[in-house]
Amino acid sequence: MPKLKLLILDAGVVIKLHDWGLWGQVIAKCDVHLSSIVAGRESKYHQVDGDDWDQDIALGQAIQDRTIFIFEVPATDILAFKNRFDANYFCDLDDGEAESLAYLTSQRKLDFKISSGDAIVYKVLGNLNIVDQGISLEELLQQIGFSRRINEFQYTKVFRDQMTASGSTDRIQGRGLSILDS
Amino acid sequence: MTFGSRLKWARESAGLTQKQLSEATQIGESSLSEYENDGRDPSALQLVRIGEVLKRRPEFFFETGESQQEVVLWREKPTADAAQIELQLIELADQYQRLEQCVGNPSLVSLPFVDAGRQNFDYPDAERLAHDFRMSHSLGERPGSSLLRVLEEVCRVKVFHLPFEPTGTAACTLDDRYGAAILLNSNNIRWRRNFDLAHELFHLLTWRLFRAGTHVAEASDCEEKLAQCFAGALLVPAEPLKLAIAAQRRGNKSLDFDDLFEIARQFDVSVQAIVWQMVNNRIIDKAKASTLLENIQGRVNLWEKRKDEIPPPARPIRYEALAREAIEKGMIGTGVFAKYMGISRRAAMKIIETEIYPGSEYQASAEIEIVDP
Repeated sequence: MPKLKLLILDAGVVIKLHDWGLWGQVIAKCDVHLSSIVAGRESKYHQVDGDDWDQDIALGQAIQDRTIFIFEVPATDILAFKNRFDANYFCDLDDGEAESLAYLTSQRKLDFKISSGDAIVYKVLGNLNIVDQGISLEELLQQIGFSRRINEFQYTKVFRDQMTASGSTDRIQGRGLSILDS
Repeated sequence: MTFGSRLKWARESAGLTQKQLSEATQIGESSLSEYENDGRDPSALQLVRIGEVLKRRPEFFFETGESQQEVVLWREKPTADAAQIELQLIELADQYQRLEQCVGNPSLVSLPFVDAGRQNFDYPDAERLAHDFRMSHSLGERPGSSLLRVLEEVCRVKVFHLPFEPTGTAACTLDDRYGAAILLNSNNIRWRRNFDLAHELFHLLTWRLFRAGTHVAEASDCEEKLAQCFAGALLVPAEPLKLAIAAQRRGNKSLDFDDLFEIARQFDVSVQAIVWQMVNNRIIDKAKASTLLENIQGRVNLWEKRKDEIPPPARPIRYEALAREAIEKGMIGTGVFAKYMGISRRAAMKIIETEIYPGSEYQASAEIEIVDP
């Protein structure tokens, strides 16, 4: 059985998998790709500072061993991706999410899947009409054989479906993409 | 401007040397020099790091046209890190406006600005401006209790609270991008912040009058005195002050410190502000007022050291509400929510998991149709 080719998008998913102790099993069963910004910056946002997180996420060894892959997108391409949308369609896109989405769309990675806990990502997928390239954490875990009950709404299939549908509706009604793109 | 020249401009605006930026971003000095000279571009990750330190979004570095330096007007610049505090204020105001544009009210600011061409603006004009503002915004006889809310909710002024030294100072800024913003000192006690708020409001109202010319980032002594006059007249209107004094005197010929403090408390200003308004309204003699203030300085200081008040949050409640709405509606992600709220990503995840999305199942019944008249 080939590994699931997967792009884990936001740092929240990386942190959540570490939180649940499933990170090692996921990277063993999937080709995990992380944007350089998520790997180098955003997954380190949780530094212990009075909150309840007391583990450090060290991705260095996995990157060195090539058990996860890091991709980089030029800053100008990320900007070009953001500029495809109306200025007020989203308020602000995470730099790591922007790099991941730019990678996915500019290089037409059709067999990649994106997993996120953020509505904004699925809305963008819906709006770009690439709805099948989203995968919730719940679906991901099911596909690789973990039947874990997900209590956090933003990691469920229902959430992904709702937000993707919202982006698709925006596309049909002409909201979101700039005139040149639509 | 090229990418490199914008980078250099932003670094210098932040008051940083290449060495300091190098240390803060862990990018080599020689690399930074190459970027500034348009020798090559930084990676996306490096640009994020640079943007984080210089408090600029990555997009900023690719904008065309000349960079416009935002003007932040201080009563007295903080002794340390003034440039960083200014950048923080501008960044917060910018984020607030982005939230307003996406999920709130996109109108920038609604203030009755004084015309740029107005001649000979003097104390009676400042008092008149205070009177008109108080009346037009229904601030009532105790304006101190409602000024902050009216400025935030009606005038769309973005008011933030940060700690800095010296305590007796505040700042304001006005820009086409983010509108009007005021920075108050969270180390100050509430009645001091109230006066600062009114003082900074004067600078905003007269921005077009006084912020033209070569010294736009500095207020003259005269302008500062006008701002003090405006603040006093706005927060302590003459007639309500006289009535409060009459009620407090209870037939006595004089007022003691406790009486003065009681009146100041009612108006939500300091004892000094009350005393100077009594002078301005010819209720007490100026020389005697100066002597009195010298005599009571010790007691005033003791009062102001009281720590029975919770410091105000850095960001207004509306800002936080908009940020929560933005994440729920897919306008921002967790990382941006964390950055906007000044919290860790982990803390942001917890808020989103436990406070924002658990309510989603109630969304369908959380709408009510408005009956058109």
